Amino acid sequence: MSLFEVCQWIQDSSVGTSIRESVLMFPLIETAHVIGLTVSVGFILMTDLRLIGAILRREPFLDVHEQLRPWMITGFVSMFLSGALLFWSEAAKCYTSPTFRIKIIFLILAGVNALVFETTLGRRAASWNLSATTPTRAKLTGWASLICWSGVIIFGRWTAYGMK
Amino acid sequence: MWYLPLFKWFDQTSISAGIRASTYVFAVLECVHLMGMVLLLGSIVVIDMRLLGLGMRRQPISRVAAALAPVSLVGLVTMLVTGSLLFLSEAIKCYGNAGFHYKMYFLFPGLLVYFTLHRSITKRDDAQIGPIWGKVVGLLSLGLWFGVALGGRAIGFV
Repeated sequence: MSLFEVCQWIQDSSVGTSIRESVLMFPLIETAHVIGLTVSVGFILMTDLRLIGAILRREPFLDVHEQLRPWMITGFVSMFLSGALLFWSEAAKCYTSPTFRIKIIFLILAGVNALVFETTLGRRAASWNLSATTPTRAKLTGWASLICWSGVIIFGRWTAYGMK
Repeated sequence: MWYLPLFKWFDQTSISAGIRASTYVFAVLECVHLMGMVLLLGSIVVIDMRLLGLGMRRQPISRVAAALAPVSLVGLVTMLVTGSLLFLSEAIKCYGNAGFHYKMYFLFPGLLVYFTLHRSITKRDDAQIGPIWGKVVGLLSLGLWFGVALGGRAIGFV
């Protein structure tokens, strides 16, 4: 079974079909996706802007990071679950959409970027926590995250245009 | 409605026709509009969570709000510019679109609350704000802005 066939099978499943054919389900899930995105990416961007030293410079980095994290994760979970349901309903269409592939690449890069930060520089954050000017690597992490998440949003929105 | 002639005029402007004539301009504007939303709502939701006592509690309200105000402003200007252009390009569609009307019912009070109550209360010391008033403004702000977002999303579906 090729990946395309798997996607076709997912799309044709009863859950996928019922989401696709319902008048209300798709718009409601899409709305939940946008709200989850707003909270999670919104909070991620605020943390990124602190990382590059653009805002909240008077506040310790860890204060910003730790206090925004629970909401960021809540938003991410709702974005991820609603996104999974949307994918379920049009998996084969997504498979053939070039913009969807770019979106997923940006999403993976954003995840890798966050993971690398959390396991290296983020662990030693106590040493630069209080400084308004963050280490160069922290700035790079912030910029990379800003770029990746912008890419996810732009190519995610574009995917919907391409699939009309 | 009294504003139908106005909306017709918007629909016929050269900017409006120009956006409609292009395959990509509308989609690009929409993407930028969405980026503006993440900046505007991201920053305002952080402030509202702080007002509600649900986040950033180690920092005083006024410091969180002052630090995030420029982000909100950049987001807001981005949204207003791209939103106006999107509206111009499909003013007549918006005229008959319930989602657009709901969006406006939330947008104008939202802007009013933001530039009056929200901005003034977040300049005060935590002790001056008290336990109730901050929560009222935080909830009001969240309700209005998410109303705008929901109405906006609905424009494309109804």
